Formats: sequence, C-alpha cells, structure tokens
Amino acid sequence: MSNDTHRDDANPNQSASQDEPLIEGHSYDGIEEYDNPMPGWWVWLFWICVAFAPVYVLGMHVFDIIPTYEEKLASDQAELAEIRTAWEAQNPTFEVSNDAIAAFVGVEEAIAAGQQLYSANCAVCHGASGEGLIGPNLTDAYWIHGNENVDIYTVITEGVLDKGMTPWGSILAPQERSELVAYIRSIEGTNPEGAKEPQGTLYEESPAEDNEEET
Amino acid sequence: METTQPHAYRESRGELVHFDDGIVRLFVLATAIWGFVGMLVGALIALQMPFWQANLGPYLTFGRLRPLHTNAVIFAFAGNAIFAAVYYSTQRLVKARMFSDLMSRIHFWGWQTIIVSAAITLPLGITTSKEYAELEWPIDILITVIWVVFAVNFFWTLKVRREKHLYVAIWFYIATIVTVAVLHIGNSLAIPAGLFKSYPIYAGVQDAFIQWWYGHNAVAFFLTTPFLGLMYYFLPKAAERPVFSYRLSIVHFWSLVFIYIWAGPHHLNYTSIPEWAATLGMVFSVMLWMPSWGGMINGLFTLRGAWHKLRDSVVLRMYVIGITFYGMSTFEGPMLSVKTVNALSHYTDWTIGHVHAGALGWNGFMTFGMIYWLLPRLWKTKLWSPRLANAHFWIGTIGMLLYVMAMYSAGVTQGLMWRAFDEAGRLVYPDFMETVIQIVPMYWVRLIGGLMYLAGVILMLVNLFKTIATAPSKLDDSSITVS
Repeated sequence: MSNDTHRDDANPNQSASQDEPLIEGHSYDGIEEYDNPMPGWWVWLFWICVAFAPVYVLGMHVFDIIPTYEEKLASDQAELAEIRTAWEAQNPTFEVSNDAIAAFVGVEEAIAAGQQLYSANCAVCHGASGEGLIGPNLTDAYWIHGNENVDIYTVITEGVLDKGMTPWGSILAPQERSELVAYIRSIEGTNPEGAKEPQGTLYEESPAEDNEEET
Repeated sequence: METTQPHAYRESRGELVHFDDGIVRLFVLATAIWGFVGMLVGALIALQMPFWQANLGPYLTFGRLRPLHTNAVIFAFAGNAIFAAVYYSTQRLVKARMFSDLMSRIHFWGWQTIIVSAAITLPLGITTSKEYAELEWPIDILITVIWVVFAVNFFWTLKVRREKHLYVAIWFYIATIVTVAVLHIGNSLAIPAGLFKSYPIYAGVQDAFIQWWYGHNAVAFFLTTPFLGLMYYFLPKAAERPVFSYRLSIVHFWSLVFIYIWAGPHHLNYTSIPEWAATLGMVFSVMLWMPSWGGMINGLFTLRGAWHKLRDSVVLRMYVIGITFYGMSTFEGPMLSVKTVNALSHYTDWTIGHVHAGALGWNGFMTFGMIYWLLPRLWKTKLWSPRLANAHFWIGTIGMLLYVMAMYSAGVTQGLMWRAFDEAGRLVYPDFMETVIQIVPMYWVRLIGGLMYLAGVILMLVNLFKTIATAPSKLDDSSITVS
C-alpha cells in the first residue's frame, strides 16, 4: 500500500480552507496534523464543568446549602412520615386486637387473599404449605412467640430480626397482615408432607380447632 | 511510505527497516476468535436472565459465566485488539521494528495462556470476587510478568526510534502501559492462602475504594486510552486526512489522564463510603466530560472534507458509529455519576446499558473497523467480501441499538418501581420479584440485540478466514527505507 501520495492542501475540493497550515515536521507514517484552535463551545463547557466542582464541594461540605446523603435521607423520611400520618388521619385505623383479627379468621375471601400473600412473601422460608423450611412449621400446635391471633399478627408486623424473619409492617397493610393470620389459622393441623420438627411451646387448645371444619 | 521494496534499494537509498507484521497477524486472529467466544458467553448469560433453565450448573451458571464473559471481552477481545493496534502502528509511527521478536511472541503466547487460565478457573468457581480482577494470584503474577515484557519491548522500541517526535497515538499507548501496570499491581496485592485462594491486603471500605479505583480506570486505561490511540492512527489513515487539531489532542490527552484517575468513587455512590469521597468522585466525573469529548471531536472533525468517503468505506462508517457511541457513553458516564441521577440508576440495568454502549459501540466497532482495514494490508490481498462487511456494519448497529434501548428501558423501570410509594406511604412494589418480572420482556429484547451483534462478528470471522485463504503463501514483512 502506498500512502505517500502528496496531497495538495490548498485544494478547495477538500473544503478545509479555514484550516491553519499543517504543522511542519509532523508527518507520521503519512499522517499529518493541523493546528486548529480548540472549538470555543468545548473550551467553555470544560471551564463550566471545572467551575461546577468548587461550587458543589463548597455548597455541600462548607456552606451546607446542598443536602448530604444523611440530610436527604432524614428529610425524605420525614416527608414519608407526614404522608403516613395524613393518610391514617383520613382513613379508619385498624385497631389491633384479637377480636379485630378474628373477624378475618375463617372468612373464605380473607383466607384466599392471605394464601396469595403467603405464596408471594412467606413460602420461601416457611414452605409452600406452611410445613417449615428455614422458618418454623406453621401447621403444628407448637408456637415460639405465642399462638393468639394477635401474637401471630405481631410477629408478622415486627419480624424476628435475629432469626431472619422480616418485619412486614411497613410493607403489608394491616388488613393484609390480618388476611395472613387468617390463612395461617386455616392450615393449622394439616400436617403437610415434609413437616419440620416442632419448635417452641405446645398449645393444646388452639383457636384453630374452631375452623377445622372449613379446612 | 510503506512498500515491499526489492533488495537492490538497500545500498542506494539508506537503511531498510522491516516491520514485524507476523505478530500483528497473530493478534488480529486472536482478537476475532476471542471476540466470538466472549460474545457467545455473553449471549448465553443474556439468555439465563429471562430463562433460568439455561443455567447449566454448577459450572455454567450465571454467577460463574458472567465474569468469564467480562474477562473474555475486555482482556481477550479488546486486549488483543489493543496489542494488534500497538504493534502495527508503533513500528510505523516511530520507523523501527519492534525491539525483540522473541519478546513480542512471549507477549502473545503469554497473554493467550492467561486467557485460557481464566476460561478454566472462572467456571470452576476460582475467583477473588473483585469485579474485572477475578483471576487468582498465580494468574495475576503471570499477567504482571507478561505486561512487563510488553512494556520493555515497547519502550525499547521507542528508545531506538528513527522519528524524533512522538505522535499522539504513542502518548495514549504510553499512558495505557504505565497506568494498567500500576492499577493491576495495586489492586491485586493479596496474601495467598493456597494455590487458588488469596485475601486482599485491604479490608472493608479501603478494599472497595482500591477495587473501584482499579475498576474505573480499567475502563479508562484499557478501554479508552488505547482505543483513542488506535483511533488517532487508523482513522486518519483510512480517511487520508490530516488530524483536525494538534492543540486539542494535547489538551484533551493531559486533561483526560489527569482527571480520569480520581473519578472511581462514583461506583460506590450510596454505599458506606464517606460523603466527601462520593463528592470527589462525582465532581471529577463531571469534569471528565469535555476531556472525553475532545477525542470524539478530533476524530469526527478529522473527517471534514472526507464525509463522502463514508459511502464506499465500511471502515470509516464503523469508526463514525464507534466514535459517536464513545461520545454518548462519555456523556452518560458523568451524568450517571451525579448523585441525584445515581439514586435512580444505581443497581439497575441502566448501568448494563451504559457499559454496553461503550463496549459494543466504541470498543467493538473501532476494533472491527481496524480489522477490516488491516486484513488486506496484512495478508496482501483483497477483502474477500465488502458486502459481507457492510452486512456486519448494519446488523451490528441495529443489534446494539436494540441492546442498549432494552437496558435503558429496563433500568429506568426498575429504578422507578423500587422508589414508588402509594398514597398511604407504603412501597407500591414491596416484593422484589415484581420488579424482576416486569423487565423480563426487555431481557428478551436484549438477547435478540446481542444475538444480532454476535451474528455480525460471525460474518466478520467468515470474511477474515476467506480473505486469508486468498493470501499469497509467503507473506513478506512490510518495509520502509529510512534515509
């Protein structure tokens, strides 16, 4: 390949008349160089980006105008808390009591809704039928944190952090958590395949017996 | 200047310099073959995302193949492409044969040994678990040794050069060779605990900082500076036009290498790093925008008065697409480093889209363009099928557009779903799986785009081997006479 054909750079066909002359002595394997000025917009944008650095650094770390991570997190959480308070003020609150939750237990729609929530959120640890995997068996008569409706509701809400149980209070609505209680009540005593060994205290009189006819 | 001169010229017209073209042919072959392998693995892991049954465990699961994909496309495909570019252009730019043919061969075979070791150990689960630096310490030492051989060979060639000035491409090669050595050694310092296991000498946040100082500057000094060097040689050669601005090349070279090295902490935004470090990473990333674009401008403006050549030159068209994608991803990078944008984009597929715009567009297309330009010159014949090369251009361009559009869409969707609250102040999508299922269709689109890009590479391989088949049986080294 011959690349040393001489180019006439005054040739108007190359439409480079505004170019400064080629730099003398700069020819590398036939590659020559112009010494055109840098585009003005490029230089200006570069300076603007450079100027942005001290503005941002001083604004955040000296003059405290731009919020830091911590400040932004705090203000966002405060905003969220406001939204929650406002919503609770306008909507009927769900009073957590054995009776209130009992209104869900044994109700077919509540059990069906609870089952869906269970499959999506709980089955990973407690097994598809509540037989227990990483988490305890939910179908036997043994309970670690009490067997009242409100006990189960509280465990779902607050979780058991040191054992890996997620707190669902901020994720599931009170009604959804109650539907879960209804579902869990409905599978008591089913003794599914692969049931995990009992954990916790044996409760002879389980409220589950009330709805055994339905399961 | 470069011709195959008959011997009689030697006495009459000064010193005859033969270039080592054989080593360039080897690196070009390795580039094309490893490119195919690396992108094939990429297509498999792209399939594994929407179709988990494609995880053929334990050796061929996503967790083990993903680092194999990244190592193969970065260090095998892009790496061999860089070496091909360096060995071809340096000899011509400084009018000297590489200092040692033996060292060149040690470099070539050593590098392929490293790649094969990676291809064996990563599926076996042998990994340091540091991103883009997964290879264990014995391989790290081999990388260091081979890199030093490369460096000595390169710098000795510069020492005995017959051209006083060093052209801008050479500056970029120098920055690459020096900085990659510093980065690789700095990040890989570890205490061995057996042949296949080691612990980094850094811990916790310091380890994370060193890792992303390395990771970010691997992008800078393995995927950006050597490819800018490649562009500065092969683009004006293919366009047969002088470089637009020497002044611009000086300013954007020095600003790029100075500013890039500070920007790493933006990879750790919204983690447990101190706020000032995140700020540092962000402001340096913003400052990096124009230095990055300096290369794009000098590339595209070099084509002034030569745009009509794009009609007939698939090489130039590939460079234009490559440089355009470089411009897009080097705008996007600073933008993603801004904390408020990062709050949406971090941990989403947007990042995957961003790196592939750079990798497929810039690294891929610059490499393909170089290969199509080199093939007839290295094998002293005609390109077997310009039409096939044209098909490669189109299928590759459309494929990568599909790829990045799918990932942008998936990333923004994920980011918005993760942060969505309802009127009661509760998460709208508390279940992570919901956000995954939502983007599965985008994963399929990404796979189609990736397969199209891979099909383009297969067309290139066919063209390459068919071209080589028409080459003369004896390939003499090219040479020039230096007075």
